[in-house]
Amino acid sequence: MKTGKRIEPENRRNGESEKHPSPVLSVSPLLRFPVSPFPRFSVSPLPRFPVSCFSALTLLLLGIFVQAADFQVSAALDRQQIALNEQAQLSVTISGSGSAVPKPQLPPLTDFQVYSAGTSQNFSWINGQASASVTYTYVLTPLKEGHFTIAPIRVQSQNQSAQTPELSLDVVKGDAAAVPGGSAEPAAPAPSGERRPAEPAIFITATVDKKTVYVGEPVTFSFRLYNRVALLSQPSYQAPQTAGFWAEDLPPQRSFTTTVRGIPYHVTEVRTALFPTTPGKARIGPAALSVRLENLGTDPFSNDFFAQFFGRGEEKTLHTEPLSIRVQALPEPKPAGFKGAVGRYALSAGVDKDHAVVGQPLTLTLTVSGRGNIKSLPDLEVPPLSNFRTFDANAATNIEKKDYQVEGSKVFKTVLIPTASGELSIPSVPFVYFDPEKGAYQSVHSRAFSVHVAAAPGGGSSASAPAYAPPGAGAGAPGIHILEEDIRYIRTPPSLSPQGAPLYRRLWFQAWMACLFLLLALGGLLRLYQKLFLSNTRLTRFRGARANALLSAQQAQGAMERLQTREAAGLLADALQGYLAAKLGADRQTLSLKEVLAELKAHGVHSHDTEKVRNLWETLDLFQFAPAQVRPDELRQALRTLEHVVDELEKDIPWKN
Amino acid sequence: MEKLKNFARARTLWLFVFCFLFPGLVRGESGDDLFRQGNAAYAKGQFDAAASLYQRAADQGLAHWILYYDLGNAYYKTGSLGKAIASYERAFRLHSTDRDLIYNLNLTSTKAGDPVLPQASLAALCWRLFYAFSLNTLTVLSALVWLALFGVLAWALWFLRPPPAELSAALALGLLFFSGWLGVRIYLNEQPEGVVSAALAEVRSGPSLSYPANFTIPEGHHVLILDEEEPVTGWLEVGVPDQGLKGWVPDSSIDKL
Repeated sequence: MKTGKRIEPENRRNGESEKHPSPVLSVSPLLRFPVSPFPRFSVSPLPRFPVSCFSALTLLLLGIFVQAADFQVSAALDRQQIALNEQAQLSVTISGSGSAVPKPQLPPLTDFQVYSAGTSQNFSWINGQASASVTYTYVLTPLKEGHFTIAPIRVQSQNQSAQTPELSLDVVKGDAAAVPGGSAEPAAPAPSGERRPAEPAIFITATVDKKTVYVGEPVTFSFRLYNRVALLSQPSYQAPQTAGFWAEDLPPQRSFTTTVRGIPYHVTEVRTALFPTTPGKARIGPAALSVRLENLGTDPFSNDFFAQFFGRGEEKTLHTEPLSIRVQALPEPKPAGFKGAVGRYALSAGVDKDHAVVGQPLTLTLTVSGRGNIKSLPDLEVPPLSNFRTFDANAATNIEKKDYQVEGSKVFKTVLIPTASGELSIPSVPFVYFDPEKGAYQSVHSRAFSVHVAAAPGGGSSASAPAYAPPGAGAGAPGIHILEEDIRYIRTPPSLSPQGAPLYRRLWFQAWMACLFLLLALGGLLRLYQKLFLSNTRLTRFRGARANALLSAQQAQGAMERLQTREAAGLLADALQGYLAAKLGADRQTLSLKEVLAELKAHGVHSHDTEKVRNLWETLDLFQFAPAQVRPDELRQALRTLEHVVDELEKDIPWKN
Repeated sequence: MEKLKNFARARTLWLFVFCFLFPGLVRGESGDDLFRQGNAAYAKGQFDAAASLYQRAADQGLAHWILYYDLGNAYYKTGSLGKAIASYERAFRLHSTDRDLIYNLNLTSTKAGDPVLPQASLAALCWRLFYAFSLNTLTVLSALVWLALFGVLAWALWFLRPPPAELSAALALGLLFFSGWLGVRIYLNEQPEGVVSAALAEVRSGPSLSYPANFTIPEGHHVLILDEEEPVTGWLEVGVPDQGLKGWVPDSSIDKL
């Protein structure tokens, strides 16, 4: 907290201090309070001094210009009846014409504590005749209840004396509300260390405008000094301990007059803005005020001018009660970009030029203004800008405290150096804050800018631009400068169709590959079959003998139908001989009838079948050598015989390995 | 009244017939239309709008590496590094040989602190060779080698002769090489990966905010999505294999590939 800062009174801030000197005395290094107890002194155009001093000077002046003359004295009480915890105001007015005005002598008032509440005077010069009037005001605080009589108040001059009539005052038990004509204003707190419970001559209060706030939301702490007696010294104010707060003084110090329970008080108020920094229960410690005030004891109307002037009085130190504030955490979830700003803000932006040259700097100014803790505003971050190099220059804070609220602006300046020519854009910058009045996060954006950047003379970056060597630059060909790494541009084919799944996931591909596997497997199986079953050629011939013979017989029949007798006979002979060679495991080229007959006999073929074979063999030989003499029916008969013989031999010749 | 009902029935019938005959007039914008609109928005510098249009095209099933590449560009321009990297990765899985795509993917992932391309030049060369063929090309190459070997074996079977030894050995080695290469590529392609799309993903020891956050993963980093025996709605179990870490994150902070 900046307690060392001097708070100037309002009239000095307004430039009135030289014309109308302030009644404030510069005693305390901390704060200044007016010594005058009532505002009527502050309206005086005279230079302001301590009351007793001022009164003495007035009387001296009167003594210079006004010789002794007639005077009158009167006294009055503001009320006839007061409660025990109230005070009465006694006014003694001495008026005279052209003569010095003496001071009244109060009778002993043992049942009251008496404070001097000041003096007012009036001086006039009419038709060469001077007249003066001085009113002495005293505050009477009763020490007990009862009916009291104030004896006549005497005024003694050199050769004259005067006195007032007796005054009576009833002091009753109870509070102000019980007394007819009592005030209904809030009771003043009892000052520390004082015996009387209410309406003290001086007291202090400490209040806050809010008891529950969010983190960062300002709380206005008000410290007030109520006094209605003359102060002999400048009060010394000690600000409270405010751990957990960021404190900001709120000048100017405010002075005004108010009444508390019918008693006029001069109030001096000091305000401080407190910004809680952490959630939880925060405590504002007691504030303290040390003051020396005039205590006239039982003889407040002493004529000892010098005793009053040199500050006889009582030193008092007053304390306020500590205060507690409930600090709420900011709501969750916090939006992206929120960095802790609390208040109500606006964001504006500006660029110092809209035309530039590559390499020449621009200045982007972003201003966050509004109400809140300006000093603690987070820095604004300019997003990465294509074709610009950015340098954060500075941030300036301007704080105003109008109407006792902290407001102002924070200005962020960023230097942008274009690295390429063209119509370059500076996008909007977002700023997110929490508005405690709405209880919600707010987002504001600065406006975007477009800057026309011309190429630097000579191309590339300008000579005045700072050297820029991004990674990888400089090693290339002379004259090529890599300005900034950016992604490659999009692809823009006229149309797109779904690319589909990868090939290995597609069904047709998997099926095709599976077919290849199957084919290879089948080939292997076939090869195995051949290896196992088709490798014995003799057996193969044996098994296929009949089919081959019948095939040849069929071809022979075709030849017969074409009347190709010789060819048909040859086919029939081939069919018979091929069949017999295959069945008997013999070489067909060297096979003879004799061998055939011998083998048939060896295989146990019936003799009549053997005879059929011999006849058919010889018949077909004959048909081949004399085809012209063969009739068609003979060929058909030979064909039928061949089929018959094959069928018979198929039964008679078993396989022998 | 009866006439009115008949008229209403007839109108409904004609509406159905119209929709059946002219489906193009009643359906919304196609993915291809959205892609073209996205290109136009990107050209104007309206990157947010471009990203939205590209994303809608992808949501409509237009799965093409160029669409994902352009979508990654749009996300990059809007500052969403995580989403940009995820889009580039999708494009890369479909088409790994495009130089611009590799450049953008590496630039973006390097900015995110998790570069895809190795820093060492030899490792980078190996990486480029490994991805020199697209997955489809590699599949076709493997199939061709397999076909050649099949042909030799079939010839040998058919003619019942032993195949040429050198040719058979070369084809067998080639098949082994390409099959192994393809197998690793398919394995990597099928890895359940994700990219952190939130600014910072807090990885917790359990699928709830009540569990403490064990570590954080910044935006744009790759994570392995682990198999969940008992999936928890809204949460994913992820791992960082090279760090030996794993934990749970809200699924909104991960862009699954």
